[in-house]
Amino acid sequence: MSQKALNMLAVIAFFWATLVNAELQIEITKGQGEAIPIAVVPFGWQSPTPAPVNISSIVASDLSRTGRFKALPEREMLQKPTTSAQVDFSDWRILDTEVVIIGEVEPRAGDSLGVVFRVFDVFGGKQLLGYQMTSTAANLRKTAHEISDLIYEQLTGVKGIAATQLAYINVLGPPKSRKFRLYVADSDGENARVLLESTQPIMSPAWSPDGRKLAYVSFENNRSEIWVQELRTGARQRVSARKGVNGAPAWSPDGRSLALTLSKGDGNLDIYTLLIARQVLTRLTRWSSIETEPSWSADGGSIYFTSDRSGGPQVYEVSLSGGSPRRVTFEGSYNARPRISPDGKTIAVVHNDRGNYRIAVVDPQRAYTQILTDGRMDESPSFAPNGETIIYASRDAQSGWLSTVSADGRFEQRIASVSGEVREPAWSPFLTR
Amino acid sequence: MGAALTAMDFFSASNRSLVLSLAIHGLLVVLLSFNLDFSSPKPASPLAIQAVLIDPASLTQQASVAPPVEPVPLPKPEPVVEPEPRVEPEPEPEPIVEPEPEPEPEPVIDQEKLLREKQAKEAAVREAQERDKAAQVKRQKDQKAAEQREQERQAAAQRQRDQTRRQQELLAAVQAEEAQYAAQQSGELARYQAILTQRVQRFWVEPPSANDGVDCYVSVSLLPSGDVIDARIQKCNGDQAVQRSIEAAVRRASPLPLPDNPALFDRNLRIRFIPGQ
Repeated sequence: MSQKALNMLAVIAFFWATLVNAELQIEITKGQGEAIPIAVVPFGWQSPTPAPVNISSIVASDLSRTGRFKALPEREMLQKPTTSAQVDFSDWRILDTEVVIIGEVEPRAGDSLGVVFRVFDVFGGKQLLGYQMTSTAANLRKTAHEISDLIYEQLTGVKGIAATQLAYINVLGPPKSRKFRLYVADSDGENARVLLESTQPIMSPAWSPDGRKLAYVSFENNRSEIWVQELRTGARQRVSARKGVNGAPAWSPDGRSLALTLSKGDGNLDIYTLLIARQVLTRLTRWSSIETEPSWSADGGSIYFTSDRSGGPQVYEVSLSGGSPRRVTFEGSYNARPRISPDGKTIAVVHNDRGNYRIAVVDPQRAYTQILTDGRMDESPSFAPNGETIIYASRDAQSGWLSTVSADGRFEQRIASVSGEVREPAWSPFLTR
Repeated sequence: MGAALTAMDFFSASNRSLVLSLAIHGLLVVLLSFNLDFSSPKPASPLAIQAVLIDPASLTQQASVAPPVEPVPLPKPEPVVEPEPRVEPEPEPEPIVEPEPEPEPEPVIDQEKLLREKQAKEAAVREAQERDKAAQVKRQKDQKAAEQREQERQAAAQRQRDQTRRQQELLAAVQAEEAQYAAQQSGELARYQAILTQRVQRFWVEPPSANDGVDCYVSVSLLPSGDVIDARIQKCNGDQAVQRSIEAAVRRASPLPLPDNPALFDRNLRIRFIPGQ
């Protein structure tokens, strides 16, 4: 009997120990890691001539700019492998590097270049990604951005925006001989090229949903007119030159219509939609106040705009199927120039924060406003197509520049810019090759 | 445990371990007391009530009042095996020395008398031999019996020692658990958990897809040094980016901090990631 009891006790003790062992558990509800520590090792270059671009530094800065990654400076690397066999994970663990990216570029037939890159999970000790791509010296910068996007998507689950583009207006020179230029540049501000140059103001560039055209306002004929220009060919078409103000074009998600601000005959600004091909104009607002800066909802079913009918500028929404506009922003005395996030859930606005104009994000569902920037004159927010980042223009008394801020406000960075004042950045949609 | 406690509450992750621990404590108490009472059989103790008696202190108390290391009835006080009645070597039968034949005055030999004497002498020798043999057989028999008794005694002693040892081990295990339990109760566990949480948190970079509703478990194997030797996602509804971020966080956090009270260390750690909770 006692033997039996003992055995039983032993069994119970064993299970008990097992149970107790399985018990130590902790819960983690938030990560305090700011950014994933990565290392982008200089790519191997199999040619006596110098490499046309430094792919690894482009990739490193693309990833760093998102705020989600922190790239190890090249001088701190203990090894610089270019092939899988050369990667020693223990070296990277010492540096607390979570992800290592290596690659090689080699000349191929003609002027084509073969680019191979691999992404390694240091602590997991395995390759996460490996690609072989074909490029040319002229396209190598673009290839680098594409590499960044593949890595970004692999590590975050979100599509990258390094290979997207920016449109913006640059103003240069003394008041009497000012030059206005419409630029298109890579998402890092590099590779900027002029699309249009004028001695008269150019304003409000807007990307078509397919990324092939830009609509903008030009005063080249000494009055406001809305133009649509194809990026590839440069071909332009004037789509609205009605009496009074023609301003603030915004593309519908299907790319067939523009929302506009027109003053028509009475001089009062209201919101209209214009079916481009057939020039069909539909009036959406009829208030005596100023209505301007339209922006389409993500589903295309309504339009957000700024109105001062309540006194100061606030954001309203009007349905395309009729009905009266409803107010969307309530916090603060000034919320203007709405831009809807790609998922349709939040609205980026210019918000007056105790006398400073700052970029804020409004969540109408939760009646919540989060101020993202801390400048004095921040303006013209525009969402990146993945919704993760917002670009905006800043200026002080001397100059203007472009900055990006993560949609959660955690990470802000200036973008390389041309000289002079920079205004009204517009982030392109995802671009196909 | 109030009546308001629902079954769900009762078996929620935080309570389950406590309940298990309590139940097992209860069982142990029952079993131990059963053994203790073995010598004075009582009607079987009411199990249900015993099982509720789970004041962790009570077990230790019980142990100190009446050490449960003696639960087995002592083997019947074996009569100390009498020292083998020392078989005195029977005095060698004196060689019956034939008396020197007295010089007969006259060699008048009484044949008959001689024969009688001789027969008597021979009988005496035989008798002595037989006596001797019987004594030896008895000696052997006694020795055998003694040996057997000794073996039995030793086996019994060994059994007793084994049992005592096992019970002591068991008690030690129970006491270790008690120490762990006490440490858990005293807030040391909570402190240790907080330190672990802090450490792993520091290395976790939440990917954008780590939204509300994501719930992932990772089981971690540790060396006594706190070094992480393995981190495996067990159950996770997050995407590949979430899973990778979690594994990387745990591995980067290696070595994990050790508890002040070593009783709390566990080679197996389970970490639940529930972002946005």
